[in-house]
Amino acid sequence: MNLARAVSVMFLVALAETGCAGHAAKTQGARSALDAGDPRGALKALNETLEVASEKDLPQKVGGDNSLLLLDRAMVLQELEQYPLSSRDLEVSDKQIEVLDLSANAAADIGRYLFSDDVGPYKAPAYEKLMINTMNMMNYLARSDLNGARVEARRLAVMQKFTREKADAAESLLGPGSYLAGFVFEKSGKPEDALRYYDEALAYGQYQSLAEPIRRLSQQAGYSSPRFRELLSKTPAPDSTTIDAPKDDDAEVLVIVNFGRVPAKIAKRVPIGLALTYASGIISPMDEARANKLALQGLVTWVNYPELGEPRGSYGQPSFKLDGQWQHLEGMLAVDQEARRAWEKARGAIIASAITRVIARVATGETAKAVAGGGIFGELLSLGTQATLTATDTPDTRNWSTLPARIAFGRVRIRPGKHTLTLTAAGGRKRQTVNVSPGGWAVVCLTALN
Amino acid sequence: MTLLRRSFVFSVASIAGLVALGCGPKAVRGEDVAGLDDQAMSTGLDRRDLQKMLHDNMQALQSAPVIARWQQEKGPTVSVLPLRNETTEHIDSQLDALISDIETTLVNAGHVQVISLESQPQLMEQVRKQYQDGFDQSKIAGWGKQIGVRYVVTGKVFASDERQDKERRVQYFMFIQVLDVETSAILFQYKTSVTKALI
Repeated sequence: MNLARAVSVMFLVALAETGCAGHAAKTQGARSALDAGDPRGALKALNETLEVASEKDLPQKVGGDNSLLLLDRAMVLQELEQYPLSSRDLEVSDKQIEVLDLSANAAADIGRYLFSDDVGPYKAPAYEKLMINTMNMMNYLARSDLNGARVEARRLAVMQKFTREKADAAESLLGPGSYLAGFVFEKSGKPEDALRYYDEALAYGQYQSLAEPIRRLSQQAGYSSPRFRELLSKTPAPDSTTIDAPKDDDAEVLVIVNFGRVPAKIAKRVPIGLALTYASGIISPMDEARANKLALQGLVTWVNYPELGEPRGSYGQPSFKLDGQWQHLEGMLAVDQEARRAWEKARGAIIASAITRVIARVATGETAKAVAGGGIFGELLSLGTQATLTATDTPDTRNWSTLPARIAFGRVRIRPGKHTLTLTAAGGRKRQTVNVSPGGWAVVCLTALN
Repeated sequence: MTLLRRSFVFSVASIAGLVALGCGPKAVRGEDVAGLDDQAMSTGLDRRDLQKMLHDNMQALQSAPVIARWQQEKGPTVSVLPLRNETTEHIDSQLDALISDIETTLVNAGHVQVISLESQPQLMEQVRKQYQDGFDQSKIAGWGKQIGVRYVVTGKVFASDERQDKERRVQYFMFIQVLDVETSAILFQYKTSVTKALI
């Protein structure tokens, strides 16, 4: 009897000490390597976490949290210019994230209530879902594959429509995806579709570089909008008699600079009083009263929950040179701010859920004590039960933490032939020579995730 | 058995169960697992979907007036050009595989002589490049002339893709066309559809 008690208590204590490390811990190595400007080290760390020999391999299980790790790896692969592999990881994850998003799992809901939000399937926020197709469009464009880029543009359109209908807090992210989709359809010889996407891009961002293509495409298609008229009125057509006037056989180069990184989520402990303030208006009055009572009794003092890490103060200014001449970058999109907005929208509910679990843990401990008949053994059992449940309450630190914090575009019409482009961003530099045919185009992408 | 002993036994049994569940997947053959090819695994097009759409299209072709014309012409030359992907899925390789299926159907029906584009890789590359950059219908007849055939079979697959709170539905449509290379006239056109969904 005594032996059984001792073993059980030891088992519970052991369980308490071996709680799951959480997603943030799994990606810590990769994020540290990126911070140190070592994307190859980050790739190695992610491969190890995914338990694969190299980036050419997919893990045995691509669903669950591995889909998030594949998203992380896809961005590191983009930084390393391994565009086909980056596309593959994004496409596999895209499907899995969708399945997770549509899944309704009663067992997971119970697990969330009793143990941790980390137990349930990952529900990607709208901004992450929009960025999957946007980032993959970049991968296809960088390797001049319009066919693949068109598929991603169509997939993005489905998600954009869904996001708009849900009035989700990711509207600003509709801009760059629509800009790229417009570019894809323009270069695919579909001016009507291109104009429609450019109109959407202008609804969510300032893109001065769209004036010239809109003016040109409007001669081939009938689509028009007040935003076009406003942009064109601010940007007079160039004088066709000057040497700099656009020519029919001009080619075009589009540069994309992805830099910085969105903050990762981290586990945080806050006093119960502060947690109740955060969850105010979301937590039920009954749970709030119970939490206050337990706090007064000294039974609950802290609440564990995931918090978005602090954003970096400055990401610096990216730059773009074409044949040694400085060029303008525009449409600077703050993905990190969108991540912050999405988090702030969800925070109250997440903390309310954490408080509810704390209450459930105390109640379970009290029940265990009563069943054991009280006394010292009952106390021990109660503490052990609570310790076990606390250990399993891993704050849900899952997010796509290798998304760039900022995205900027540059777009220039050039004469056909060879040109040298230089792109820089904090922690990254790229020099590339492109050879464009008359009327042709090239896309050059720099991703620097430190 | 005391509460603690029961809980200990239950804990050990749970861990054993979890370990058993943690085993990885095993490789199998389609013919060894009943219904393996029947289950839809995503909203993408799988072999069964493509075969169904192709089969319906080819059946419609067999009863179309163009067959009588081919019989009168005593085996004119035909080439099958790649099908265009205008869907929300990366199915280009599956569509490429369909070219051989269409060629096989035409050869076995015996009305035409099939000239495979695979024997003209440079032209195949040119056609693919054109598909990449954006499609120009007027160029089809030109390719037919370059290959030296009288008729061209081609097509496209497009999709209507919608998402709601807990569902995603993709309706696929496959068009198959037969064109006269000399006149660019469409002699046959048929549409089939397949719906896939996550519900």
